[in-house]
Amino acid sequence: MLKVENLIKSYQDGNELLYALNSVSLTVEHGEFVVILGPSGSGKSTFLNVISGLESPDSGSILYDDYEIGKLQQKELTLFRRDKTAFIFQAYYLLPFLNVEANIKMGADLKGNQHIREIIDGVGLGGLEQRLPHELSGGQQQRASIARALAKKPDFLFCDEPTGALDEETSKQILTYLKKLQKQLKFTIIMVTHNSSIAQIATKVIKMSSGRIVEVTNNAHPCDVSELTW
Amino acid sequence: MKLNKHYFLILVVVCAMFICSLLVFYLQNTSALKKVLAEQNQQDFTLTLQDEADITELSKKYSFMYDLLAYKVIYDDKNIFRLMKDTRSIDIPMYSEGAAPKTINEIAIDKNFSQDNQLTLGSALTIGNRTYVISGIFTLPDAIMPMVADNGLAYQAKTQAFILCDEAMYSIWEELEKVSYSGRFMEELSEEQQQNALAEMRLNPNIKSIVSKEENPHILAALNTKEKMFKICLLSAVCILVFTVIILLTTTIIQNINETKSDMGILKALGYTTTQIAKKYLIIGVFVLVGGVIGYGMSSIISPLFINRINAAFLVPDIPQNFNGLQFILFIIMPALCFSILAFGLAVFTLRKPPLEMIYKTETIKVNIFVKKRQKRRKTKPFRKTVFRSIITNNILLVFLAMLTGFMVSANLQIAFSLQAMADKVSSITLKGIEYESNVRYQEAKEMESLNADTPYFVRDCKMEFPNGEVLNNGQFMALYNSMSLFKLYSIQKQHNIDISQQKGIVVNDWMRKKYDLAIGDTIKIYINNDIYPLPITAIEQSVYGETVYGDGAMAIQAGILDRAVYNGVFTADNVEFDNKQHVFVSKFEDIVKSSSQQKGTYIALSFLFIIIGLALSILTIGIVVKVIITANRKYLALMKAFGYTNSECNRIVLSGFRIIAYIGFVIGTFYAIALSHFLFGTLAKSSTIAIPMTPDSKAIMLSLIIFAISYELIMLLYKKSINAVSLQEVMMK
Ligand SMILES: Nc1ncnc2c1ncn2[C@@H]1O[C@H](COP(=O)(O)OP(=O)(O)OP(=O)(O)O)[C@@H](O)[C@H]1O
Ligand SMILES: [Mg+2]
Repeated sequence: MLKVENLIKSYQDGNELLYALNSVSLTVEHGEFVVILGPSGSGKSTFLNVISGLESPDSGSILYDDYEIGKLQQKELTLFRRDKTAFIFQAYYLLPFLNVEANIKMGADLKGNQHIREIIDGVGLGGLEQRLPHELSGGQQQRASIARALAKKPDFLFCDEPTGALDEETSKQILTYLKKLQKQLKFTIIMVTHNSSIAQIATKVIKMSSGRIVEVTNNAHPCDVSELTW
Repeated sequence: MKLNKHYFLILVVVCAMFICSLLVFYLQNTSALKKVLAEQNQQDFTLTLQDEADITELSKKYSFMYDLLAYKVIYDDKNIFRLMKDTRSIDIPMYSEGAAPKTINEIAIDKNFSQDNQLTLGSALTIGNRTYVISGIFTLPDAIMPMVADNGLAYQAKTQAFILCDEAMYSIWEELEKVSYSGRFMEELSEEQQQNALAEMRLNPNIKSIVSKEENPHILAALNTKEKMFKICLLSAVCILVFTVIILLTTTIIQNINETKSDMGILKALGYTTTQIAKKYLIIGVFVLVGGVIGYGMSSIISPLFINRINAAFLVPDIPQNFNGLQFILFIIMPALCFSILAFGLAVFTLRKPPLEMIYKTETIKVNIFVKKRQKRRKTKPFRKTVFRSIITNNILLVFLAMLTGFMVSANLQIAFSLQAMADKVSSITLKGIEYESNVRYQEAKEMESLNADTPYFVRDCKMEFPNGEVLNNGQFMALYNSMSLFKLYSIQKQHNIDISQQKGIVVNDWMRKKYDLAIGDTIKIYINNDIYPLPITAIEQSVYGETVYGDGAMAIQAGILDRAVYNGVFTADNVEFDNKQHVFVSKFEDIVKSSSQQKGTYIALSFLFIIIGLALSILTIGIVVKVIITANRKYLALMKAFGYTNSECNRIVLSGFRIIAYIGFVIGTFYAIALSHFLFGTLAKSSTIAIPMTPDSKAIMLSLIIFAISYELIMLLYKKSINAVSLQEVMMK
């Protein structure tokens, strides 16, 4: 369980403080699919970064099953991320000089995971292992980055606009894989997106505005990706 | 498309600084030295004549100009003065301050004496019981390693002085005048004609002795050796340096262009022309120019310091550090222009590609087939190993640079240590076998009866003719009377002292062996007063210079060189004070130690130059390697951290592979250093009166290795910080 309370994060903006997160609280259960929506600049990415341990909050607590990461040192935060989290970014960030397999190993080696085959097949990249990132389409690259993230067996998968650069068809493909693998591997997904349709497949939808959570909707019956209306 | 990379700018500046300062340093010191000596109308040889000979006749015959070298030596309680008239036309004194003495109360003194005794213009100096005012301070081209008093005393600037005075004052002193001539060949004589003339003069019966400047061990040979040493060392240092700097600069430019490639692609896509985009790279020349100017300034500060250190043992004219327009253009403006053009050219070359290709930085993609195959074969290679291999196969220059790091430290440090070892060896050989406190030469020969317990000898001047036909005019034959003497001859080949009483012939030194191509068993003809004594060589002793051959006293009597047991000198354990009534000279062990340690200082100074160059460049290079890797991979380092790779893991994955490469470079550098030092010292040994023994040194290798390891790890530790500084925020930004 992830429990966030009174999270505050501010940035210096000229002479004033800009509150990117202004007293945010949230609880997420294991195995949930959380979608965060909100206008640009509302603090979505900041929220994701802070709760995933990429950035430290100014104040507030972040509890992972009673383990507080809000006040950890950089080194301990790194170990936490290594253990619990994985990321998918809109820009993929595959290492351009490594082929797909080596890129996936980047995640797998962190946890000593020897079974990367299943994951490669699971995201439908079988046969493309030896390709370099630039030899793949955007969708394929994003799938490779999902495989890389999942190869480290995370408990929490953080995604910042993973389909932002993809068309409808490919986006749906990506979401299908994510859903499928979530069912298999039982991890929690927290996803930032601009696309409100994706909210239909989530178990919890959060709306943010000006650094605050303005609405939390629980969705007892999320629909399947194939039923999505874009 | 700005050249906003801070390190790049610094690098260019530093590189240019290095090039310029060293080149300028080298040129100013070698060529200026020569120029100064030429202006002073430096002598080609020194002559002494038989009583009845006529110098004008000789000078016409062999076409040289000459000048009387007359001087008087004056001793007082503290000092020895060599008094000379200020009328020289050859070896003209150069006044660094003041002017020539014009009245009977004025004198000029040499620069070393003035410095060591804090004498300035207008100061008073007392010689004997007369006091003079100093009107000028000068240096002499024929007194670079001077012998003030002809008495074998090692030169000490503080107590021995050269004095120039006017005619009137010179004639007041009643000391015995010693007369020889300095000669300089006419300009029109070629080098070969000069050598022939010298050879003919050696055989001329009217000439008592002739010493060319090259073979004069006490005066100019020292300079020649030094000059050559200087040239070879500096030239090789400068060569390594220039080579490295050019590679470094070119790499940096390429790297910079690669980094800004996508920006260039965007501009091109927008419709800018190739020249419009590429011309911005011309600015690199400005950086090189700035660096060059700084370097030029630096060299004019550094080189006098360095020169002073090197000249500590010699009386060398001051080298004027004038601004030289040609040098400035050649070493500052030219490189700046070249690098500008190079950068421009490379940018144009890069811009030939279609804009899209440039925007997507396709250069990282040309991973070669070799790597792919390997990856296919060994599928289970862990991530960290693949990363390192990809980094180096994508930028093979980095491997080269990393190797260069080890190479430079190892090569430069070991040459430096070899220099130091050589200096040690030369000085220890100089001192080897000398167990006396004083070497006393009497004015009159003494009978054996008045002999005390010390080691007596008899020396006579002689002419020697060698099997290869060469002749040595101003040689000496020394008859030793005691095999267990305070003055031992040592044979390196046999690794023991030579027992002189067992020798049925003569002993020559190693320098003569090399110079005249001698071997044990050869016969040398010794001419004494028109008599010829052919004697076989029975041993070779390890002195590094000198024109003296040794023989047993009894053997000398038997051969007829001596008619009875007399001696005119003695090596003694007593500390004998020089007395000019009785002694020709008294040379002391401590003087020899002193002058040898001064010589050593020269080599040590040079060796430090090497160490500094080696370390500085190596640090610079490894810095570039690391910087290039980190800048090119910042985003991915940040990503790895986001995934949970710790700082030290990132560091290990990306950088640690370079360690082994650098060490391979070190090994190559070691071989290079051994080869180079053999060549260096081989050349040096051939061209000087000093025979230099040289062996590769395992201690030097160890020491360089330790220094390298420490500095490498320290640098890596520093750069680890810059990996740590790669922030996670960089992943989150688009
Ligand atoms: N490193 C930073 N320094 C200063 N201000 C920042 C920084 N990161 C974010 N901000 C500010 O914090 C606010 C929230 O930014 P954030 O990136 O979280 O928005 P977002 O909801 O993800 O927007 P988008 O949908 O455009 O990605 C914005 O006003 C932004 O300008
Ligand atoms: Mg965002």
